[in-house]
Amino acid sequence: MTADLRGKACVVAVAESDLGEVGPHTAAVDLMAQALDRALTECGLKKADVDGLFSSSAYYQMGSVEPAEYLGIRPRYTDSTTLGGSSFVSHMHHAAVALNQGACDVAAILYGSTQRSDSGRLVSSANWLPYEVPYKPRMPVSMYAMAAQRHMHEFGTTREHLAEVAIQARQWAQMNPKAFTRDPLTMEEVLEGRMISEPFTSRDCCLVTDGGGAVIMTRPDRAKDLKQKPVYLLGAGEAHWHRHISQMPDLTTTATVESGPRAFEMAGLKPSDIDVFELYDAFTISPIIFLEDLGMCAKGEGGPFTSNGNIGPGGACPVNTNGGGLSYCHPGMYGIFTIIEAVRQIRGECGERQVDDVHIGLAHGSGGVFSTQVTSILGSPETA
Amino acid sequence: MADGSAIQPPLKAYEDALNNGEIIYQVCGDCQHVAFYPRLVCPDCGSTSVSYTPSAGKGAVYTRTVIHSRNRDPYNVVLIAMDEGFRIMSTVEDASNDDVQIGMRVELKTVYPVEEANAKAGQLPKHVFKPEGS
Repeated sequence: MTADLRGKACVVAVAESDLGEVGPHTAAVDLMAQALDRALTECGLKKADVDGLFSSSAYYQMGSVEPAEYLGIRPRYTDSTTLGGSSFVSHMHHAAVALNQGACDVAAILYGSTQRSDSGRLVSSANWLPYEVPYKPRMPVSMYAMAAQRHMHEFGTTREHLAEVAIQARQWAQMNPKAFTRDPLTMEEVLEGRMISEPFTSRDCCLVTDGGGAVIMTRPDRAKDLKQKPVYLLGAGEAHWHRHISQMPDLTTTATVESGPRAFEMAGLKPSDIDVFELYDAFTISPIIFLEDLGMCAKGEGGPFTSNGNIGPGGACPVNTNGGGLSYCHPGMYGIFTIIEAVRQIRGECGERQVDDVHIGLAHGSGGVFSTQVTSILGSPETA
Repeated sequence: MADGSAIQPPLKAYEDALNNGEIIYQVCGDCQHVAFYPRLVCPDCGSTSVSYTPSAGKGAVYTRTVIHSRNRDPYNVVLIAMDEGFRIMSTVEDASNDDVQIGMRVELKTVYPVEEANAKAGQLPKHVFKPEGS
């Protein structure tokens, strides 16, 4: 059975911390504090109202405990669920459950990372499978590269198809003042970029930036009195099948084929009802596979589906309207930014990059090596 | 294991087999599910009737990548679909990286002992493959 959560929890505020490169003396938890302050200001709630805290990062083993101490929050419901990059979409689901059980009244979801300022190294708490370690795959790019290679083999997906994803992400980023890379990107630049892990060049890979975010949720009765138009959680679904790439049942199909239908069933919606897709794009293959697994096109047709401007500005299927992890911001665990952008698109406050008439947005997080998949569907008050 | 008799811990069994030039995998004694890496329970049916079986060491490349690094020559990393029905990460030697493509038939070439520095870190010996019949 599906939990009856449709329309029973709202996102009432979203905010980013400073993004890009914040410098060597800023801690990840500083960015969480910045983002939470901005989010509280946006909705008019006070820090003292927050009684549910949700957080994960590669920096703190006790994900929600570290920011709670720093911020002086003593939560009565606390959740440090760590699924990699999809953690925050999962937190949104868990927060909706907790809010509806009365376990908390105001939930704050926090993320922060200073990965770029930390010498650009991917700060990762990832554990390695001892059976894979001797082969020195580059974590995580080689794992996604092997999935892309298999997708190309089975379905005829091309290097150009992959490049199209990066190019369209950049077109969105050019309309987002907060995006890290905003200069035009050509097919040649993607294909001739520095080879990292075949078939990926550097342009197929997400950015390494600093950044943090905050999402505040409450129940609809309380949301109505706040400053922002509430955005309702209509559906959510989680799934994971593997942790390590050699254990992934089929490298071209993710557990999104379960998380997606769970979210759609709860929402009572179908893929064609979605106005904007915010999909975790750590690598160019990711949106191709997620759109297939979410049912926007048949398995194997993701390459042609994402080409010819279909997912870019003015396209029929807008994807990653902020520029995504490829061009806007990727501090290591991007998932919270899928929520932030979906909420802003539904509120209609995205300026130049605003998609017309957005009522329903899908925010999809992925973590590990295509390991953890969490799908959420958000909607305007009229859809709830 | 089902009757309480202990089998070797999986990592130890795997390492010992590698040092003997073999890769081990598992066939569940109850449901015949094929599994790698070795575990104390069947990841399909949950049975503890598991044991270790040596592989014939042959398979086909399931997928591949070639890693380009500033400080060493490009090297391939592959997932191999072994003939017994499990998948394993390895690398293919005695072939150019460009020739290591999906579907290529490969067989176990040798096992390199773990270097001392890595042994302290608990790293396992490294099996490598070569084109079948080469």
